[in-house]
Amino acid sequence: MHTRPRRRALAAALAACLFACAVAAAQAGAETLSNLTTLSRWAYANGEAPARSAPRSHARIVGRLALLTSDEQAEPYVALESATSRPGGTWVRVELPGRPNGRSGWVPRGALGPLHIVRDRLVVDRRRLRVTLYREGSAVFSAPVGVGKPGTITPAGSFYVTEKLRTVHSPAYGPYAIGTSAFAPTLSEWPGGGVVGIHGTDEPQLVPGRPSHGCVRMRDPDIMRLWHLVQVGTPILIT
Amino acid sequence: MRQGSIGPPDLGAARATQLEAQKQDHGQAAVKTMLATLFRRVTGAPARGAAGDAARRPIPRRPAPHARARLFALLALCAFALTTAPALSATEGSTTTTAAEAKQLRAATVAEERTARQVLRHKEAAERRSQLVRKREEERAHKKVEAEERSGSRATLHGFVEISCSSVTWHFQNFGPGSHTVTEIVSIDGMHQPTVLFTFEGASGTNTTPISESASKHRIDAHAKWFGTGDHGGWDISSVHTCHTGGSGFAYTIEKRQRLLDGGGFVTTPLEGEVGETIVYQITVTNTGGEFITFSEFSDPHCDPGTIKGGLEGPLAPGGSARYSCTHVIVTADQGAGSYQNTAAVTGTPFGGGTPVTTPTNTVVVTVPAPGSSKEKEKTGGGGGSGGAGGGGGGGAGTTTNTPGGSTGVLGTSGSQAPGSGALATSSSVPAISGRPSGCARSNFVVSIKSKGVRAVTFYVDNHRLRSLTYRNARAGKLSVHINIAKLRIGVHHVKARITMNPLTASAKAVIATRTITFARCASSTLSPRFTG
Repeated sequence: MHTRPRRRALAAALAACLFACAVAAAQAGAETLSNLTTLSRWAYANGEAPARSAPRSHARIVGRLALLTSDEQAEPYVALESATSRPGGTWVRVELPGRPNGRSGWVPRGALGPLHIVRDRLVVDRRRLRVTLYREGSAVFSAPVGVGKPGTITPAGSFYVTEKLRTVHSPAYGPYAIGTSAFAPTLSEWPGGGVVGIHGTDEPQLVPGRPSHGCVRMRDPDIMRLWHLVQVGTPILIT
Repeated sequence: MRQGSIGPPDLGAARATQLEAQKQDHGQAAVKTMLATLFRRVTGAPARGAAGDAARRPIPRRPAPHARARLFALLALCAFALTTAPALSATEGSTTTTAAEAKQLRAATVAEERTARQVLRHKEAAERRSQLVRKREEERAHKKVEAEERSGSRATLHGFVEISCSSVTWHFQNFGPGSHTVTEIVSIDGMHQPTVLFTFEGASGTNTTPISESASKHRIDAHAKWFGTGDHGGWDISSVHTCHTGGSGFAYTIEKRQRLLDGGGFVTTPLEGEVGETIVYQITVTNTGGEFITFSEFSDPHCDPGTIKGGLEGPLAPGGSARYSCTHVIVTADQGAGSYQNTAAVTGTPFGGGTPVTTPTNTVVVTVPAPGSSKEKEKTGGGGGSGGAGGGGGGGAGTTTNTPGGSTGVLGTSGSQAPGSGALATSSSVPAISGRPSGCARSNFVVSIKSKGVRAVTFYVDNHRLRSLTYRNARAGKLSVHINIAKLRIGVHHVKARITMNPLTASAKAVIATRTITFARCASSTLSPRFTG
């Protein structure tokens, strides 16, 4: 009586195993490109290629590479790992800036330009209200910060530096600003989509504190120093 | 029974019957019913349903005693019915209306008419009021102008300008007191002449600015400004005039230029082509005289049939120009002579009548190297030769050595590698575009493709043709174009190269492939960020 369902179950399990084996075989040669701590790789996009859920040309599209940020600067992508797919060549999994935060997708290696190496890491501690820049694991800079207030919190997660800007006509942002791949979880209607930045302030008395709409505010002397130390593509960990 | 009684007709009953009928039928039907009832009353005829009784009753041989009076009454009733029935029909329409309803209808109509009259009266009153307001405003404005002019705070200077090909004359009239200074600006073909400050006193003033330009078409812009003394002071007048100074009589010029279809601009200097290539000719006629000219009989011995375009339907105005164009595909006969010369001619006739004059153009030369010449060897060898075996690229024939740089000529002296040297040009060897800026393009840059195996390439930026190059344009083994970033907006752009590769064999078709790169022109990094703050 139960022979047929059992056979079906066995067949399904066998198919799943074969599929998993095929995927594993297709992804043979997977290689970690960034550990996001002491070594990270990033690249600019060569075009507006689709990012897929798996290193296959027919996998589901989960996003699309963009050439420009919302501030019309070149958009970098942190390369997390690479995999070799037999029919499709080499694929690279990249972090995808955008809402919701924390997305990633696979793109063909040719969709990215040359890979750049960064050995820094920026850590924003929302509890201690402090930012620390690590270079090859050692802290080289630390300063107090102001983070998002309740209701417009600074999102936690793993992000990276997307752009470095000099600001004009915007005293609230101080003299320098650093764009990140993080997006404010609530301010989706903000011009530019609600990008979380690290920037100076015209209200230094509020730093350290929780005065912002999601951005990380620093005193102007601190942001000037950090701006010159940090590089595009530097991983950011917000805890 | 009432039917058998003798006496005057019962009009009350008839009316009741009539009203009853009106409630059910239209006016005509009601009248008919009424008449039938009356007829029965008058004549004593039986009702329609009482046919049996009527049959049993003896038929009188003579009319009843008062038959004449009854007949008159019947006729009167008929006349009344005929006069009232149409009126009833008209007032009731297709519905039955009682007298009370008709009265209400009349009352409603009267009320509506009264309302309409009231609305009309209100509108007329409002119109009268607005006219009065406008009239008062105009009077007030007029008084204000008069007061300002009396006080000298309003512009009282009028003027106009006359422009001829030899001078610009300003005329001003002063309706107020005191003197005035006017700024006069004259520009010829967009070039500003020295500004003139013209001051005059009195009722009028005239100032003339002479123009001395060479004999050619000119656009003269004249502009004057006067700044008044009050808040309302100041106006400016301007005029534009196009003239043809100096030109007179019947005269025109004709110029012929040429270019290769695959690229390059029009030149009058000799070109070098090969069999199968297309030469584009452009002939421009310009009316340099002072009268209209009609052009006809354009002739060019090397324009291929059916390729002549352009020209002018009507007469050409002085200073104007018209353009003819045609093409010619180089044939073997052109190659036999090594080169060929080409001269076009156009006949011009004064529009007002006169002797036609046929004027030839300048002569342009196209050099077609014969097979076996050094350049042809170079092209052929580079066109897809394999290991020196000679692939016959570029339409050439014969076996040649594939030694780039080993012979003299354009390619050899420039140090570039001959196209297609080395491996055979296949579709897989279509070169990619190099030179894409990584990240942001903030300044001009150069994109290029390797010229190996390439016969021609056309570069496009955002699908707009940028430049066409042939293998002759190769420098250092590359065919390159400059991308002027200043001409591109901030955003994403595409550079496409449409590449024509040399065919693998003489009989094969050329391979055409497309390569595209995408780049972005970024904004300045000094800006106001869009962060959440």
